[in-house]
Amino acid sequence: MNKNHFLFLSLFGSIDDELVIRSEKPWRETQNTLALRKYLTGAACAAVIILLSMACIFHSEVKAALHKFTTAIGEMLRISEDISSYTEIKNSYITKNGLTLTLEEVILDKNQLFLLVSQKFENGRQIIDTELSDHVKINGRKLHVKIQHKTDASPEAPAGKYVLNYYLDKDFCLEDPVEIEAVFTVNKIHNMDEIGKYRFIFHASIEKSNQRTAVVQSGQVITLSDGTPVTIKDFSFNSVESTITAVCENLPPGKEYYLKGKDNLENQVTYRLLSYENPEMVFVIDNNGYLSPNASNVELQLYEHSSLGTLIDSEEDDSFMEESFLDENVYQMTKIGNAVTIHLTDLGR
Amino acid sequence: MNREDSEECVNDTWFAAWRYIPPKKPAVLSSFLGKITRGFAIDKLRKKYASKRTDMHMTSLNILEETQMLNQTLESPLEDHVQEQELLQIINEFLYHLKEKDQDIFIRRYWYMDSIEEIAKRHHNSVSSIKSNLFRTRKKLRKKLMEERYLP
Repeated sequence: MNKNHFLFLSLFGSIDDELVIRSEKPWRETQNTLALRKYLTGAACAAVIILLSMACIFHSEVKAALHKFTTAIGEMLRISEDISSYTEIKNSYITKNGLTLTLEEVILDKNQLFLLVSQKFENGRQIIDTELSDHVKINGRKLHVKIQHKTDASPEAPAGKYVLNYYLDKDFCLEDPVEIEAVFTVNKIHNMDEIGKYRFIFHASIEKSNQRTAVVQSGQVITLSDGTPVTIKDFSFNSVESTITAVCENLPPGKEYYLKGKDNLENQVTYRLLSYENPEMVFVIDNNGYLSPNASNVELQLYEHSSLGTLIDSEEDDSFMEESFLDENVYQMTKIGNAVTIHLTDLGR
Repeated sequence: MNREDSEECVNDTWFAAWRYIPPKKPAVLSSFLGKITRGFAIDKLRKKYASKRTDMHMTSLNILEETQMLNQTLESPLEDHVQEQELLQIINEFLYHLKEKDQDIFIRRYWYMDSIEEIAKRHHNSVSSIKSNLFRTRKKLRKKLMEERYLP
């Protein structure tokens, strides 16, 4: 250690009184924060659940550029054709200083990139708490991670897995060939020592997928039970995922929200609230539903669910806090406001 | 610290307050007294650490490990006579720009010296989540100090 071990602590003692007083009070969530909640109804890998909920359009017409390192995502998406020619992967796993990082899954489409990274300590090495920081680029352009989540330890992944989700900005043009460079730095949490830097580079060839982008009737407003308005903003749908964004100032915390309904072809569909950063809400389609690519419209009703059950785990990301609840009353929901109808416009056919 | 040390700090605080007030008129008494107590506590820890006493609380030892890199970052500017006030201003600005939750976690750890478990309970988070949060904030603070060109 350096010669003055108390330098920072001594200096820190003189921070503004205002800051000290704020933290003196009992902690209370502000209205600008909404806990992201997921209900666990059984033992399940959180990483697979997140990936499935993000990319849950199950039909055989998926033509987005994918590469499967494992069969999990491929099976879930029911992709039967050989897609290995779409991507070329280098260094799917790297070992440094007793820790192996494996890039297990990559899903890329026009709007999002998903990475699934597992880590494994060499035999005989003690498993320690680690922190993973990322530096990911597509064609030289840096991406900022939107959601990062670490799964619990499991027999197949004793040190857990990282799920990273990146949203591509609307002005992000993907041009063939696509080169993805992902550099991960792993640090020990307890003393910040770096274990290693792991660099993966691979290429993808994008085929035009059967994409459809919905035109949203702007200004549709749903009023919550306490009078707070929720304005539907964007609806996006393509062969890999579907999201709805809405705007709501100071969304009251403590509840979970869903948009449930069906398309004009009678397919049941559910969107659940994935994240809230005041005032933007992002709903993603749930894997319990199916929105047909041939549907011309979808009608959705907002529901709120206020019983959270027992807190069993929580984690935090830069953007949101995620808590897991065991909820035995997960199906008890309250209808809110009127239904909204979203008209889908076929593009690219 | 043990109970005896804690009681000594409290007594020293009352004596210091009696000396300082008046003429000082602190705007918020609790924070004023808290700073004095904290200062005495750090002095005691410093002496124990120097004499390699084995009765140092685990929380104190862990905090010293955690702040090691920030100590290194601050050493050089202070040796170059950069005013402490300038550094404090940077730290204050940094704290005000943090999200409320990150700010609270950081201050509870390094000002109030709560244990990780106490902070986890306060925020209904897991211990590893709080550790990650502190790690990220320390990194950001170090980066902020580098940007202000105070890193050697």
